[in-house]
Amino acid sequence: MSNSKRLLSMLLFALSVVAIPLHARATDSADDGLHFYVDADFGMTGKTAAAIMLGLETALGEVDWRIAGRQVFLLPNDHRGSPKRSKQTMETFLHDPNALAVIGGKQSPPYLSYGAFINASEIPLLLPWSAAGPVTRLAEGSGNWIFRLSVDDSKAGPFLVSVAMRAGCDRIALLLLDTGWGRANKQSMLAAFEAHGKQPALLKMFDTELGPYAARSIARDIVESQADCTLLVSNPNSGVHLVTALYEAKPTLQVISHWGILGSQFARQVRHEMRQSLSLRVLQTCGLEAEIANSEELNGALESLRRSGHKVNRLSDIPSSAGFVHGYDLAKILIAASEQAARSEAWKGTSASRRAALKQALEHLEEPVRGILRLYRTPFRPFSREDTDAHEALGLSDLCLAGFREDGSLKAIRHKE
Amino acid sequence: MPLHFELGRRFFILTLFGYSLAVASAVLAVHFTSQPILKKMQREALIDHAASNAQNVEIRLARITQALTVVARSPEVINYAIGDFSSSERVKDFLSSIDVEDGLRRATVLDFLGTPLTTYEFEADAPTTFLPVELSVAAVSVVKENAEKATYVYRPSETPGHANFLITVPIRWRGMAEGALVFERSIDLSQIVDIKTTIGTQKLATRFQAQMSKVWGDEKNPTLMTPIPQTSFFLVLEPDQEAVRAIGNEIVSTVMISVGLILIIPFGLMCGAGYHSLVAPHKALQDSREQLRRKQVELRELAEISQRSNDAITVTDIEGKVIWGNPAFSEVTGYEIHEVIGKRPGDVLQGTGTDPEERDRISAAIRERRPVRSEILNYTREGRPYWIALSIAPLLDDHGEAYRFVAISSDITAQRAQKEAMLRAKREIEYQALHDPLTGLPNRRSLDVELEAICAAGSETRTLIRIDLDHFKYVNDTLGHAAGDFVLIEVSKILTKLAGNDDLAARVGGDEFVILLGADKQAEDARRLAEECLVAIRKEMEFEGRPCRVGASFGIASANNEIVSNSTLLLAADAALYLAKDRGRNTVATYSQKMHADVIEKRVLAAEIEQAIVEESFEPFFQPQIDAKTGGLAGLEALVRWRHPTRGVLTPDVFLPVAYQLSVVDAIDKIVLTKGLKTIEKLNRAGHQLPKISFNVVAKQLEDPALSDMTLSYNLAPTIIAFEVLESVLIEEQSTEFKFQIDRLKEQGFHIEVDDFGSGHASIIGLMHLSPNAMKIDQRLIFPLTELGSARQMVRAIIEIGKALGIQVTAEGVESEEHARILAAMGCDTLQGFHYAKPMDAQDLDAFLKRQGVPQRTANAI
Repeated sequence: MSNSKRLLSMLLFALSVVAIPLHARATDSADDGLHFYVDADFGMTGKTAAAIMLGLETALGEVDWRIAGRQVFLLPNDHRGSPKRSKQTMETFLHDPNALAVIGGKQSPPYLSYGAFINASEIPLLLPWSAAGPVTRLAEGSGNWIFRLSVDDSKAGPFLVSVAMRAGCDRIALLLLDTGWGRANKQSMLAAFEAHGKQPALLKMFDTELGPYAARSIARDIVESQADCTLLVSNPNSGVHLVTALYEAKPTLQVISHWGILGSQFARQVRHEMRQSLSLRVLQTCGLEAEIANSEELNGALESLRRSGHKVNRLSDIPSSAGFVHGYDLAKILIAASEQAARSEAWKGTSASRRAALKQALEHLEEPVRGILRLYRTPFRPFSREDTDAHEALGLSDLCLAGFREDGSLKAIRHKE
Repeated sequence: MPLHFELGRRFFILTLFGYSLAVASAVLAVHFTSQPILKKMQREALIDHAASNAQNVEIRLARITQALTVVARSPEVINYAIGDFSSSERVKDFLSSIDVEDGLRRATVLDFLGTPLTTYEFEADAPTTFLPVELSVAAVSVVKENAEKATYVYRPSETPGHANFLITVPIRWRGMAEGALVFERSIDLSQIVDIKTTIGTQKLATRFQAQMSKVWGDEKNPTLMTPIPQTSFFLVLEPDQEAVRAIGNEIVSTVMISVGLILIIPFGLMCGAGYHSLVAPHKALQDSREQLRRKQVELRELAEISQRSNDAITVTDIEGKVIWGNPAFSEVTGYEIHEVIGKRPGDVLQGTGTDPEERDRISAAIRERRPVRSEILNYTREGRPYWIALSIAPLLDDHGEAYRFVAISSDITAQRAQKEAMLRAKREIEYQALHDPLTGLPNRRSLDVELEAICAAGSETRTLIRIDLDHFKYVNDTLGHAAGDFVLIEVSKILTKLAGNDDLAARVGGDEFVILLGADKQAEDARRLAEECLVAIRKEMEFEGRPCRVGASFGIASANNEIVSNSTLLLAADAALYLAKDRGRNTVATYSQKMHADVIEKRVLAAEIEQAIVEESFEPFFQPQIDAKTGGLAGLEALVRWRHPTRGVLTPDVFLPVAYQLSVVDAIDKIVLTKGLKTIEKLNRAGHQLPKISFNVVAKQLEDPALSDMTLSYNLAPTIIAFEVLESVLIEEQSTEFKFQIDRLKEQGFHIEVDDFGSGHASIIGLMHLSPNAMKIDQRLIFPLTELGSARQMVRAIIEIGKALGIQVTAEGVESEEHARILAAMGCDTLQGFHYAKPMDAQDLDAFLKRQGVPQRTANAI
């Protein structure tokens, strides 16, 4: 290659690297609305992202897409499960003067990887479905910008262990995905076992791309361990193989799973008789309980949804309904906090000061917010070593288990802890 | 060479020439018309070739890259590239753990923005020919295109024959390229490019090099550049014009071959048709001429042969009347040819001795116009009969119809006479082989043949009488052999007369006869016949005016019961015959159930004895011999006993008769001797100091040097070994060898004792010759000692003889104190019998010796 061509190639490369932020900036200047970035995997776990979007849109629809007199825009960014791409979204956000907050998707890894960057860059990040415990506890005091309205694995793990023990399981096996998320669950679950003075019958960590043969091998180990219950923390793909293999190896086993297996085609690929035989239950927040309780807020939200043209009779008609509930409640809190922040002086300053005002409002919400799951009086507080759940809107009391209907949709099980 | 071959060959050469001309014309036509198309095709072939080679290069590169793709799919690399919980150290550790091929220099992980994240050096300080920005461009390119396969950047290397490659493997996460793993690798070019191909030389080139080669290349021989898919480089093909032209030539040759193959069909058809319509008829004409010529020659030769032949040859018309004859005919028959012309040969030559049946057979064959062979008696003109071998065959015309006969005959009178003589001789030999020359009765062999045939047929059961003349020896001895022969002839006449037509009387031995009865005869019929025969045989006969009389014993066996089969008839009848003899002769005995049971019992006993020999179940029992003067132990006699597995201890009277028949007495004696010697050796070691041990042996055993050798192999001192032989040894003619061995045994310190003296032929001379150490008086002489004065006198006399000859005397059968007292008083040296002890086994003997504690006669005292 000639030197001139080589130079041209380098130039092209440099352009391609900076092209995306430049483009973002160009579009930002076109309006003065408020930008909420949605950083989620719209590909493989697209249904969950869509449910979150639906929750956000329903809540925003109720305020006519306006906060503090400004038009609100939801800007979805597909990170495809790649933390790098998520970080790219954060960088785009930082260059957007109208950007106020980022709302996450289902995955935790991007924020486990780049949580420090997010806190350092003072990006308000609200997580409607990420479960990894450490995400909301990465920085202390005012340096912590990450909030969650979802199951917190530091609670979920002990919750699952406790449910299994209450269900009379004697020998409990743990099957955990070998990722940061799985490893975090491992820690909290083992601690829960220790607190009960017990040990798991078997502990297996498995790869993200588990195939049917490896799944059968794990199932054989489970049978050999003589476990009567299995707690599962898995992604949907590996979850399908594992649940199928467990059913083939020991149909009488009881399986209680983190909600990580939901999504994709899980309910279709794992037949109902398999789910029934294994008494398969998944961790959920108590949205479905609200459905049973005929909650006014839920009915209101569903009514809003119907008004916007969606044909929905009940919550469980919405695929990944937890995403909808969490998105809806989170948006309600975000709207209330934004309104509260808009009343502050800081709101009139730079984008950075508006974000700081939002954080301040989130941590000091003045008016209670009524959501589907609960009435949020002070969902968030300033984070400190003494109050490590300060950025958790939900607690142990918001966790429930759900079973499957024959059509694959979830139904509440009255086992509230 | 025959003409028709020549013709055929010319025909085929012409056809072949025409075929070649047609093919050549077609090829020329194709060649001239296809030139423009050919050029285009050559160009296309070049392009196809280059494209195919370029694809090959891509495939080969992909193969090289396969392992690298696996690396890029590892969780360590993926997680690191997407920014999920992985560190550069983990990636480096992982890369360092994989097996890499030579030439892999470094690997760099880049994220989806083309940012290099980490670099691992497979070869420390390996030179690089690629700029970092090239890595980023390659990574961004695969991410943008969401590439699934690796891409390549080629850079010529300073190392000759090598090239440097930048291999960019996409790092895929959830079906999307999220980064790239870029490898720098030096590859031996010969691994991926076949430099020399069938149509030119090829090499890799960068885009720049490719363009330059276009600018500076040879216009007449332009290079062909083909981009290699997934890469930034080209495959440059410098065509070999000769090879390219060869592509065209190949097409022309393909056309040539095709045209040639297609034209084969019409020319083949033409060739076949031409052959059948032209060459074949000509050939047939040639063949028939040739055949005619040959036939003429053959006829000439045949005429010559028939004139000179020694066989008489005549040719007749279809009626069988002579129309021609050769000189040999006149010589054989004595008739001139003209005398028989128009006559039938049979009418002229055959006479009274000619077999009419054979004559009719020949006539029938002639009537039916078929060939015939025969041997027949003819007569010469002079009336001398002679035999001929005659062969008559019809001569056929072209339509296969007979129109004449030819008769060939040769004189076989001499051969026939010879053959008949041989047949007579053979019959005579066969008759002699199967018949007794004296009586004319069938002989033993004849009987065996008959019995074998009956056994083979297997269906019918038969009855057989076995006859043995009584007192026949007396006739022979008193009246001479002529009288004996006379008696045998007379007996055979009686048997032949009285036996039925279906019975077979045979002479099977000197004075032994057999009558094998007909199929439906029973044992009762046999008995009646035997009794009739007995009556007739016992009648006095007269030989040369002197009366002579014989009797006969008859044994009958019949297979009409379950105990005898046809194959065992002779044996069973033999057993019955022996019974008849036992009953006092001149009687008839029939093989009965009881007789059969005895035979079976003996057979079982025989089998058991043979088994007992193998298992050495025979053993010595020892009977003490007592010194008559001192009352001390003088010695022991080893007596054979058989420890039978079910019947307990058996005495020799039970088994010895059968053992004699089996000729196994030697073997039994040997077992007894060996065991006896061992027992004595053992007892001596236990401190008993036995003076003497006697073993019973037959005279023949004494001749065997092995007897003494074996005995001497035991350490028996001070016991003396004595061998007892039966009294019969005294009167039998003994060989020099026997005498020599006896002397040798005596020299070696063995004693010889004569057993059962007085039971048979008590020979004083024999006793003197043998000079034994001791003689034992038979117990039958001892038993009556207490009651009969005559017995006492006899025994006393024997003891006196012993003393006179210096031979120790032992009395057997001492059953009472009185026996002992009398014998001691008579001067008998040694006493043996139940009065002292019964024979006992080794264990009891040991107890006896211990219990007895009697003073023992020392060896020296004997």
